[in-house]
Amino acid sequence: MTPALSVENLSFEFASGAPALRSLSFTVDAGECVAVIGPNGAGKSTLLLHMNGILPERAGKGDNGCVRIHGRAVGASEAGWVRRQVGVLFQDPDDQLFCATVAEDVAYGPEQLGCPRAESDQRVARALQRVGLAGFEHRVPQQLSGGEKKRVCLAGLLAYEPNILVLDEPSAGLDPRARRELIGILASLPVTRLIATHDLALVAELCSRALLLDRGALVASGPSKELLRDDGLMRAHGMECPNRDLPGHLLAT
Amino acid sequence: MSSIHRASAGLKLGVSLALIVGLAALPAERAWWGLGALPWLLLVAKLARLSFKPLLRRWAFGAPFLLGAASLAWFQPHGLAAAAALFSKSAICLLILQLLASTTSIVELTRTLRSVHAPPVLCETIVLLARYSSLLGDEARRMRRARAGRTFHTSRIREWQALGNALGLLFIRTVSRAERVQNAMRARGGA
Amino acid sequence: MHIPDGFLSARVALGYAGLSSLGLGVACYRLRARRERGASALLGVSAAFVFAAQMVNFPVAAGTSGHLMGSALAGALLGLPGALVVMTAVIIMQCFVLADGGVFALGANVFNMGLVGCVVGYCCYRLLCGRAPSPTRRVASVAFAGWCATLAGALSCAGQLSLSGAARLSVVLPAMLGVHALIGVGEAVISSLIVASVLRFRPELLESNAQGALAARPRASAVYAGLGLSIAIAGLLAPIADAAPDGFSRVTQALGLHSSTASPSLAPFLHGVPGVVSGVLATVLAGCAGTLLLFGLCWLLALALVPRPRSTEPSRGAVVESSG
Repeated sequence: MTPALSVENLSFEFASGAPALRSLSFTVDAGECVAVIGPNGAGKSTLLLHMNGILPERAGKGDNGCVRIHGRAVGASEAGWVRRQVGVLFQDPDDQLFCATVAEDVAYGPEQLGCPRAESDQRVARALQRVGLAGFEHRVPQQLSGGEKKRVCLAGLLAYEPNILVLDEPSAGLDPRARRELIGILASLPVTRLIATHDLALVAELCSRALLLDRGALVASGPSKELLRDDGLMRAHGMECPNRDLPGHLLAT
Repeated sequence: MSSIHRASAGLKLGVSLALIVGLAALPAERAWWGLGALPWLLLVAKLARLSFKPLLRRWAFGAPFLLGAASLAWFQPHGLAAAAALFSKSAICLLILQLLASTTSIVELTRTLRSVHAPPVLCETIVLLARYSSLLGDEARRMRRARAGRTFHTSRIREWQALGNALGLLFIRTVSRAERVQNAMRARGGA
Repeated sequence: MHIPDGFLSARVALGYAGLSSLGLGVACYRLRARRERGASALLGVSAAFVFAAQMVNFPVAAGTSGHLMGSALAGALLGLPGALVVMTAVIIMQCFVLADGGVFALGANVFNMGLVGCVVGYCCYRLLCGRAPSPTRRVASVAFAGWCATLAGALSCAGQLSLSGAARLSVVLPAMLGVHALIGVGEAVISSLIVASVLRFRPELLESNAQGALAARPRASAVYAGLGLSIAIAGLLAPIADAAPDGFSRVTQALGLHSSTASPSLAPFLHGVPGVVSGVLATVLAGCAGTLLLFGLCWLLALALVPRPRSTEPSRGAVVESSG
């Protein structure tokens, strides 16, 4: 069975020459929820931007490995198809909410796909319902709270129904209630999910598997609860010891 | 939302322009006819449920500039009359524009622009401008507060330096944000 | 420099609106030809920046304050077509949100601050930069270009007011030029500070502009500059260009434009005053000397702003901020 997402020997350097990713290889099966954890500067965001072809900006910088979505390699010629399959939730919702109203923003994806007006309106309504923001169509992004903005961004992705969701720090900056609501929404989605996060409680609750990145290299991968229980490993890579801090039931198998 | 707010932006814009053009066409001796529009404008403000005090305050904020500009007309024969005519015309026009601004949102404005086939790149720029200007303003305020928290003694030169540095940094952040927004657009644009 | 409604006559407002629409149309056409999806992101967010920056007031003389115009800066950072779109968007927003500048006067305001400001600013900047300029030269060029753009815009504005019969040219011209010569200094300082920051942290933005996304190609830019300058000159000098005031009033009578308000009084300014030729020459020479002095000051400013390269500068160029 072809994995939904497959990364083979992915390497990437910044324009200044500093290495960001070093020969990463992993796969994600359809429907799985996998976390990418690691200290700041580990390369989590950079990795996520490779999932829908935004990086590398210019192809052909030598053999830099390969990212495959449902078996098809991500490259310039496949950009349109890939972006329809993979939805990326960026870290700062203000970067992603660039339209004048909520309805317009959520409709952006479907409209780019060529959906007729009536259908895109329906998709917008359904997506907003999914994230618990029904009736927010005419609201203006500037008036929304952080949690609401994040949920509108998520609705904007759900509106064009990608098979794979890639999320960069989804719970960052959310208050406990907004965070709980977001976790609930993410748990209910059947699609493949790749989540980069510092929120280890979220990892323990949502993600079956975790990938530990440090300085661009994949240091460990396996069932998330096992990884989180390994105090030595966590400490060695600049992470707090969740085994000590998280409620016991989260890490129980 | 009053009926004025709900009216189409094109209609409001058209009526405003017609009034302003009419006022512009009035020769100096008949400029005081423009004052006849005042009761109608106040009625519109009432219908739009706009409170008079903030409206008046905003108008009073812009009026001195009109006075200054109108005074340029003083240095010619019948200068005082000419200056007064200019001031009265422009004062009424300012009120018309402020009523328009208070009852029309940028969203409606861009929709109207799009419907008259204004260039798409201009419309998109306006939408993004409206979307991000308050955000930039907030960022600028946060930077200023953070800097003020560590500033103990300022001179004029330092103020200018601080201003310049802040604006420079703000522009750098602007460009970074533009790149991230561009990525977000491409991520959902499929191209 | 935002002209409110009520000062411009209908014909002047419409005429300049026509010119501005033409210029804007050309700019949008050039942008569309080179547009990739999302390129409007940079224009839009930059427009937000210019809008925000224009709200900052700085004192120029007792009681007067000025603010950034941004045309030359936008030209240096975004290229000429992009800068024109950005300035137009900003002026439109200011009109409809802040009621700053009139709706009917939009065309004239876009002409002054958009077309004239950007064309004069950009051409000055590119001409002064030459090929592969040093950072100091770039900063000095943008400072001087900013000052020139401000003055050019003020000149055009004065012309429009005079053409509309709102004020005599002999009154409004020195007033506008005088105040804006000072405001232009603020513009020069702020533009140069911003460009110096960009050069320090993201120099590739200015280099890529020279060949890439939004700027014109070298040969095309010469044509552009020529065309743009001729439009600017036509617009700027329209009120002054008629050396035959009689001809002007003949035309206005034929068109039925003659009204009881004072028509632009160029006659006493240019016509029949003894020694006016030498007076004009003297003014021109003084202007040139002052301009050269100002350029020298801009160079000094640039020298002060651009740091000497250090080996310990942090590496730049990351698209992704290192937060994961």
